[in-house]
Amino acid sequence: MSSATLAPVRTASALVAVIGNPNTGKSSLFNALTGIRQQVGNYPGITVERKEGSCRLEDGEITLIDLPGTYSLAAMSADEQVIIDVLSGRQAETRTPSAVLCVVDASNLRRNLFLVSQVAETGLPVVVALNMIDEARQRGVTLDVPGLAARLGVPVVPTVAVRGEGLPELRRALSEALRSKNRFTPVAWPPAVVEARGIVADAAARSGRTCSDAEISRLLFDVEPPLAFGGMIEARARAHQILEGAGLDPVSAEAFLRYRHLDGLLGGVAKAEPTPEAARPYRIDRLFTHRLGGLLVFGAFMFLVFASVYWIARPVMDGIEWLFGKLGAWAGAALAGHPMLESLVVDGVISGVGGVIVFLPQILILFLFVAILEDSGYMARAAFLMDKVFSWTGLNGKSFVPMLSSFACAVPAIMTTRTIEDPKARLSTILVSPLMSCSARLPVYVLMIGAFIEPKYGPLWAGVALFAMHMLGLVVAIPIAFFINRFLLKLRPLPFILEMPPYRMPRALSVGRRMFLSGREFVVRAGTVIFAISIVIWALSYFPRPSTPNVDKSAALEQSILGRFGKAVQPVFAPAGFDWKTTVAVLAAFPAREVVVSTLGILYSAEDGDENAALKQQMAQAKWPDGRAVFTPATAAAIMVFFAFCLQCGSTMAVMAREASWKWAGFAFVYMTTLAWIAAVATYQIGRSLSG
Amino acid sequence: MLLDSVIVAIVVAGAVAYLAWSFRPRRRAARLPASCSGCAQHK
Repeated sequence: MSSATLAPVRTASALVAVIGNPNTGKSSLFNALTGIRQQVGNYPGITVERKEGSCRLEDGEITLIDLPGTYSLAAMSADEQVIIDVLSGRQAETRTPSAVLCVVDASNLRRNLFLVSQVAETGLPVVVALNMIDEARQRGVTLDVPGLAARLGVPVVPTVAVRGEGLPELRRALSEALRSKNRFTPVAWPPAVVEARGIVADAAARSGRTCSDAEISRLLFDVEPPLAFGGMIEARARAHQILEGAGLDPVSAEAFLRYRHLDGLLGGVAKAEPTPEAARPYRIDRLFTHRLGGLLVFGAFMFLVFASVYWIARPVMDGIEWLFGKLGAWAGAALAGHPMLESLVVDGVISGVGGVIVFLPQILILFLFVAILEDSGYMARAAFLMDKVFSWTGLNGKSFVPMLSSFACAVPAIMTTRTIEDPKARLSTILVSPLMSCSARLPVYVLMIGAFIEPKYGPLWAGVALFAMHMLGLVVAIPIAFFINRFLLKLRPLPFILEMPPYRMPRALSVGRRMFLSGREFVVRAGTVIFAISIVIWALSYFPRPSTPNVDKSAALEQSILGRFGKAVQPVFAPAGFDWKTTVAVLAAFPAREVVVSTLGILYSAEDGDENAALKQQMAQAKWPDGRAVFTPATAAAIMVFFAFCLQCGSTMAVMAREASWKWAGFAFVYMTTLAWIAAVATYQIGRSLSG
Repeated sequence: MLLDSVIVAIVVAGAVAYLAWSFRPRRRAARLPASCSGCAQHK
């Protein structure tokens, strides 16, 4: 039932799937082949990222589709389901590929070729890119590339994607493959497997399904096959009986037989003699993965990252604020005589745009560090280390990756939970990830620390406070994850498998691309929402206008829709020390917490346009009716704690609903908001009693 | 003054419409991924 006899294809319309194990440099190769001619989106109905790009060959242009990294075609996660669906032509709105480019790590050939041998069973022409060949040679791996190509029966091209080496040869190989048949040397299955495959294939044929060899393998060997048909269960049971009768375990038979086949193919063409130099970089792992020392190093790295975000970004932020202050002043002068328009432009539009742009330095610096930590290989060590911390909660080290990503933004982080195979572990990671302090919380920390902590305690304690706010979410997330797993989801512990990539020097181009894409993502997706919310908040704080002209701005705000609402709800937040303006800002920030500073700016009438400086001054001068200062270090801490825990992000809610359900998104909203209120009240009350 | 009001109304209505569009319900995944019990195949 093989579809191995494909007609030659025309390159002009060809779609080539790019597939490979994680950490093979697959995305680097995709980027090198396509440049910036990429379209990024989602597969319909699911949030697995779909990345396509154009690639110019000698005789025309083809489309490359970058599939998620995987070790096997066995569909255990949504990512892997997409891969088998795309290769089989079952994925909606995606053409069946005409060929497959398999990216393999030349240092780990045996394991990487496992996936290649599965892919080759689709019948599609295959080209193997032997990537990171330079590292393999440094590590003592010697390869007879022509010999390997002859053994495998497919073109094999050595490449170094990050330096663009081997790309012309790879383009030529793709061109030729699109005109060839699949000649990959098939696995020589023993008679019992051939018989078992025949049973499954016949059952599929009887129900009208034509399956490729790859699909037959999945139907026979996978615990949960990616497709189903009438009579499949019975056919699988009979086929498994035959395998067991031949002494083969149906679950592990594929791995055993495929590796035996690959060992035969690789004998004499691939040799690994690890050099002393190859082992040297890993000596540092003794420290980085040490139970205590590793945690100290991790803590130090994280402190360095967040202190840098605070201190390096600050002058740039000051510059942006100054610029928008000047712009506001200029616009105000230009629109003099049109008070409503002037207020809209200055307090709504310019304030809203400024409130978006001012985030950028922090986001870019944070992603600079995240990209360096990931590209250097340290991130995997951190995940391994954190597995020891997480294992008692029922989560595994893979949960750490989305949780760390949540420090930048929970939205992409929740999408990265797709790498977690177990749905319950994935769900609990989704539920606690928004507790991590995302970059959108940073402005409120910067404002409160800058206004009430730094002036009183100095810059060192300001840095410590910022670090503590970021660690707070992580510290609280762990027991909450334990509670959710133990009592709500009743999660069973899972083995944790993580590949340790070699240490590499991060490349400026790759780091720069990550920073650019994250910045663009923020401005385009989050920024536009923040801007729109700023306009709505301005309208709610501007209307209805008082009937008497020249009324005090603060009194006008008090009479506005937002002011009235905030005053009505303020008693709920009074135990946390919030005045009505803070309450309004907190409420307005529920759709997107980023707007809180600009809302406070509007409510506290930062009239000179230099938002942060004016706002800090206005807040410091704010008094309760009895003359006490509204904002004290205890109030500032309570506000920060509230923002640290509260789920004030419509985008995160929407992604949670998409990845799990609206029920779980609602659960997260309720538990986080309740936690935020309790923690804010406790912080304020304790802080107030300590300060006398 | 009337023109000012019209401009403000258009901008605010546009912002509200954009927010409504941004938070519109979207198609969600049919199910969470299948559970992992075949780790032997990853080795």
